[in-house]
Amino acid sequence: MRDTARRSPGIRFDRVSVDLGGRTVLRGLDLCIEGGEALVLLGRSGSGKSTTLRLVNALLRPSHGEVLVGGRAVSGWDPIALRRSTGYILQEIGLFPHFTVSRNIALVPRLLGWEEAAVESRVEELLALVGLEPSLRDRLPRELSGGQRQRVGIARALAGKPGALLCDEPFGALDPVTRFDLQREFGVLRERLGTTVLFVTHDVREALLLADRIAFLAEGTLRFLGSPEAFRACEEPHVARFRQAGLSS
Amino acid sequence: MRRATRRAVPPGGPLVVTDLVDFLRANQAEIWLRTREHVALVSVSVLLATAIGVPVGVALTRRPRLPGPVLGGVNVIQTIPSLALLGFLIPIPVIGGLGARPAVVALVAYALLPIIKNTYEGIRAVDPAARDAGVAMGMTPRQLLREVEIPLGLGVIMAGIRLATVMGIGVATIAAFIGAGGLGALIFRGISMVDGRVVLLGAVPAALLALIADRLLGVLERRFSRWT
Repeated sequence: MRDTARRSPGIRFDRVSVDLGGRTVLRGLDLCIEGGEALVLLGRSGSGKSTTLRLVNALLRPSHGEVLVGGRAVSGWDPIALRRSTGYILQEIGLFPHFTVSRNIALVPRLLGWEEAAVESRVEELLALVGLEPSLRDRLPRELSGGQRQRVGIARALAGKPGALLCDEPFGALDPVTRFDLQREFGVLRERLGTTVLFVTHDVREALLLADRIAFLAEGTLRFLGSPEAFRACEEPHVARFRQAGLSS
Repeated sequence: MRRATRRAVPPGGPLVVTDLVDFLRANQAEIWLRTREHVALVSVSVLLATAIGVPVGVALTRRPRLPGPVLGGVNVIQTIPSLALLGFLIPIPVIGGLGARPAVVALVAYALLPIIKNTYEGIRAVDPAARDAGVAMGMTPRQLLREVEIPLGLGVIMAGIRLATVMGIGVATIAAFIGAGGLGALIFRGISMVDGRVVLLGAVPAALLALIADRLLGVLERRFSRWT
C-alpha cells in the first residue's frame, strides 16, 4: 500500500533548542520520525509546535543541535531545494489571491521546472485527489469556500510530489463539519500516498484520528511520545490535563 | 449682421462668450504647445521617479535600518518650497541651471516621497500568509518579489504614482520660472501683464490635466487593487 514510502524521508531532531528573542521556545528536543510515518505534534499555543515544524524546511534555524531530513542535516541542504521537496500546509492557507486555483496548485511544479503538459495533468490529478470539481480550476481563491480553499492548499502542498508533508494546524480555522470531513479525507489520502507527515495541532481528537504516534510538547519540552493508545492512557500530569480538557470540550 | 451685434457691446465691458472664443482661438496654438511641454515635463519626471522610487521602496522592505533615514530624507525634500528648490538648482552644474533639465530634477525630487513610501507600505501590507507560503514553497527572494509582493502591492504603488503625478502637474507650473516652459509660462506672462485672462489660459488647462490624470490613474489603481 505504501509503495512510495521508500522515498519518504525520515526526519530527526537531535538535541534541538531554539532561542527566540531571549526566550527558549524549544528545549533539547530529541525526536525521530520514520519515513512514511504520521507524527502529530500536540500542545497548547506557544508550546513550540510550530517552531519545531519550521525547523524542518529551514524557515527557522536551531540555536543548538541539528535537524536531519532524509539523513542529511538541514544546514547542509540548499534551503530552496529542501522547501520545494517538502509540502507545507498552513492554517491561514496562504493561497495567492491573484493566482487562479490551477496556478496556485501548479506553483511548485513550475518552480521545479516541469514541462507544461506535465504540470497541467498534475493539476487535474490533484483536483480529483482532493475532491474538487475540475470546473473550479479557473476560479480565484476569494471565490471559494473556506473548505475548498484548504483543499486547494492541500493540493498545492502535494503538487511537487513531496516526500514529507508539514501541516501547521491546517484545519483550525474551518467550521466543525468541514473540519471533520477534511480530517477524514486527509487521513485516507495520507495512507494512500505514504508521505512522511509532521502535523501540528492543539486538537486532541484530530491527533488521535490522524497520528501513528503523538508527541506532546509543553513549554518547549517534549512530555510524551507514543501511540494514540498510549496517549489515552498516559498519566503524566501535563498530558492528562491537556487530554481531559481537549476531549471534554 | 453679426458684426453689428458684436459692436453693440461696449468696449472694455464684461467678457462675452464671443470674445472668449476669439481670445482662445487666437492663443490656441500656444495653449497646445504649452500643454504638450507640460505633459512632457511631468511624464518624464514621474517615469524617472518611478524607476528610482520603486527599487528604493523595495530595498527599504529588505533592510530594517533603511526606512527611517530614507523616508526622513525624502520627506525633508518635500518641505522645501518648490520655488526655492528651483532657485537652489540654478548655480549647480550638470543637474542645475535653467530650462527643462533642472525642472525635471526638481519634479523627480518631489515625486520620490509618494512613490518610495507607497512601494514600501504596499509591499509591507502584503498578506504575511501569502508571503510565508511563497517562502515555504521554495520561492527565491526574487521570485517572491516578482510573483507575489509586487503584484499584490501594485494597487498601493499605483496610488503613490497617481499622487506624484497630480502633485507634479501643479508643481510643474512653477518650472516656467526657470524657463522650462509648460503651462506655467502662460501663468507667469499673465501675471506680468496683469491680465487675468492669460493667467487662466495656463491655469485652466493645468487643472484639467490634473483631473484627467487623477481619473485615468485611478482606474489603473483600482484594477490593480482588486486582490486586497
